[in-house]
Amino acid sequence: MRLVLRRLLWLGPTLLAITLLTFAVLSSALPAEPELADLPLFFNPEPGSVERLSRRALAQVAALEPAPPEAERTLTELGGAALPFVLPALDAQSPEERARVVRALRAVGTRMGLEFDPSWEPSREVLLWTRFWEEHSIDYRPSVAKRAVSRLGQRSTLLRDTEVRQLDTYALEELVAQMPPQGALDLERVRRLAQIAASITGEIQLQISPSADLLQAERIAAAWQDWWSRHRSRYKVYSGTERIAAMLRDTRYGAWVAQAVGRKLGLGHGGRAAWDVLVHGGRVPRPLFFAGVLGAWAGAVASGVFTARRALLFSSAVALLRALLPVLVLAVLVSRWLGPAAGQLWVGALLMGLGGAPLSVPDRMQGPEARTVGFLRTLAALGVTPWRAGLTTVRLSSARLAVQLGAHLSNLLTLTCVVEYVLGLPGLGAETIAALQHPDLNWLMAITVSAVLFAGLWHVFGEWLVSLLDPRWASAADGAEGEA
Amino acid sequence: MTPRRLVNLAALAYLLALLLVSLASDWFSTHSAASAAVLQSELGQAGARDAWAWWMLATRNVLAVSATATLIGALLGAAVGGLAIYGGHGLAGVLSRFAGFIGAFPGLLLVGLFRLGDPSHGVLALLCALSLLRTLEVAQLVRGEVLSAMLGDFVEASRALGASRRWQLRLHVLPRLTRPFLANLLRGGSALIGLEAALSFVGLGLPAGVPSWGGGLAVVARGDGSVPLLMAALSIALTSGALYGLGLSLRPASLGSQNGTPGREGEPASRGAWRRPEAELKEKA
Repeated sequence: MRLVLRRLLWLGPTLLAITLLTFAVLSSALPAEPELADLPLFFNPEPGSVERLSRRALAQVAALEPAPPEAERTLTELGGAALPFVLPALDAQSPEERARVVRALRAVGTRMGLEFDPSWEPSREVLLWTRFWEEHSIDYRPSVAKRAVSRLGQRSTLLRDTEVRQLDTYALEELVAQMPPQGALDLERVRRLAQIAASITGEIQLQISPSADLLQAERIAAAWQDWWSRHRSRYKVYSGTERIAAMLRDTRYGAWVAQAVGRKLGLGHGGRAAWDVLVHGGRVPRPLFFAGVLGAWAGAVASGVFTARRALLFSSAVALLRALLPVLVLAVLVSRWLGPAAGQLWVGALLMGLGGAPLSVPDRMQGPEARTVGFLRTLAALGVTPWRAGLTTVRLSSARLAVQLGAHLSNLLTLTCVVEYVLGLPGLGAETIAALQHPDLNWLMAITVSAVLFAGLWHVFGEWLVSLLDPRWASAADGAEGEA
Repeated sequence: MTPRRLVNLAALAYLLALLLVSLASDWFSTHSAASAAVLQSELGQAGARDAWAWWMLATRNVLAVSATATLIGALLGAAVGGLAIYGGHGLAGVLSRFAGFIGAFPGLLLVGLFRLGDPSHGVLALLCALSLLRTLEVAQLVRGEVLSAMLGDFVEASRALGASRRWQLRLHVLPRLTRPFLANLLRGGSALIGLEAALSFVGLGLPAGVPSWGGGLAVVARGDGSVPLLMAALSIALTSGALYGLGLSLRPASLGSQNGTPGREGEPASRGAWRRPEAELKEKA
């Protein structure tokens, strides 16, 4: 039991380590999504980069004539969230530098609903921004943003709308946080918040149409939350424990974890949630896998019985025959012979039963197996018939199988995928092979997590089963673990 | 000659023939790398000469990958298994966790991930993944066998008589390790043949233009060409079976003859080993 508990406790760290490793490999091999390209992989030493980005862009815009388009674009994107760092710095700049900065801020001002003179007059625009900041700097606080968004959600008026628009990207966090609908009667509020968020960010595809129902509204709200989890780091300034958490959360791995938790292990290339594909596609590999386990169990029992009858040559010959008929070859021949009729589950299950059997053949007879032979000699000395003695070994063979299958689980899963693929069964194998041929990060991460969890739980189950079937093994394993 | 020995000899002869074919494939096959790719892609319509040339090239490629992965796995596995015993408890724990860690991956996924990580999407990824799988298996075997031998009464007695650790290893441990080690290598080689064929079949093994049994099987699986299909299928089955059969024949004496040494539980590798520590001590004196 101690070993079972230890296995269970190790499951978490193993899962974490495997997802980290897999994510690192996949991220290095696949091009990153454009939205996540700026984020580090696992650790973000400077989360909440709005201050750094806006000061850098400000310095570049102020220093060079003409202003670098990249820096202007950064200021435009950062929008209201950058104003607390840009506008107070205007006083310290020369008139020419100020002129370049306010020209770069024009797009932001237009988005915020500020009215500019069509003719370009730098001093007038500097004055406009200075006055704006004198009047509204107090509004750029989280509590004010929260209240403004909440008021807009309650009822839409021009004033409330203007309040939120003037906060621009500074209000995005609250807009996204308050967006999830509370019920069918809440659609209008969600639509308003989505519309204003879309006009601020330019994500027009994330608006809610007038004919949308509650389900669509929930989907759009979830999409906004995804969007925010990916872009949050650009618009925020963190402090205290939130900053420490953001160092891990505002990374590409963190974005995947957030999506995996919130969106059923993420969306695959086909647009379906990976969890849904796993649940739906799992109907095929489950019976195949258990047919493989059944085949292995039958092989283990037969091996035990033949050992009892000392028919080792026969046992070896059967094992050799199975090795001579690899499942891949059998599956191809069956597929060729039966044609489309081969794509049936029972054919796959039969092949898996045959393929699983060699897994039960031990590498060598040692430890408890040797004890089994001693046990059999004792039975023979007591006058028990060989067949009767063989039957008593079923339990011991099953215990041995439970241990061996843990080691061969990886092979059995691979076998399942291959049989599915060859027979054209619509299961997880074909999906995984397609995802490996045309890499799909979300699906590969999802199948990795599932496989590791399944393997871990199978190991735990195996340990438990062994402790039930043959307590000597459990005590031996406990001793071995202790020594290790 | 017993039937078992006959089968073993036949398996050995077959494997030797395959080895000769792969060594001679470059001389017999005049196809360049580009035409080899065409050869595989048009295997269904290939004539006898082309099918033969494809088979020779495929045999060479498959044996090269499988043998290299087996060899690397054996060397690294023996080293890691030995280190796990003599490198302290921490290393054994790390090995055990790492084996569990990799064991949780389906082989298909592991190879696929290596392939994605390999910019060439080619042989290197396949070789690394197969070697890693073999290394862990061999390391666990070596650790288990050596620990089992070291805990034997005869080793303890030898230690009590003053034998050095090197002496114990040479006289007691290594002879007992040889058979299971070789058996594991052969059975592992058999598994690698099957795994490589399966990976090449699904397009994740050797690159598409490189002839291989699995790749060829994939080409002819649903099309024409019964002869190439039989060639590929028989090659995979016979090679896998031959290696497996030889591995079975090397199982320890406790499964077969009860008189063989080394191999039996609780007994020294050879009777003389009891007296040799004394001789060694005398030499030292």
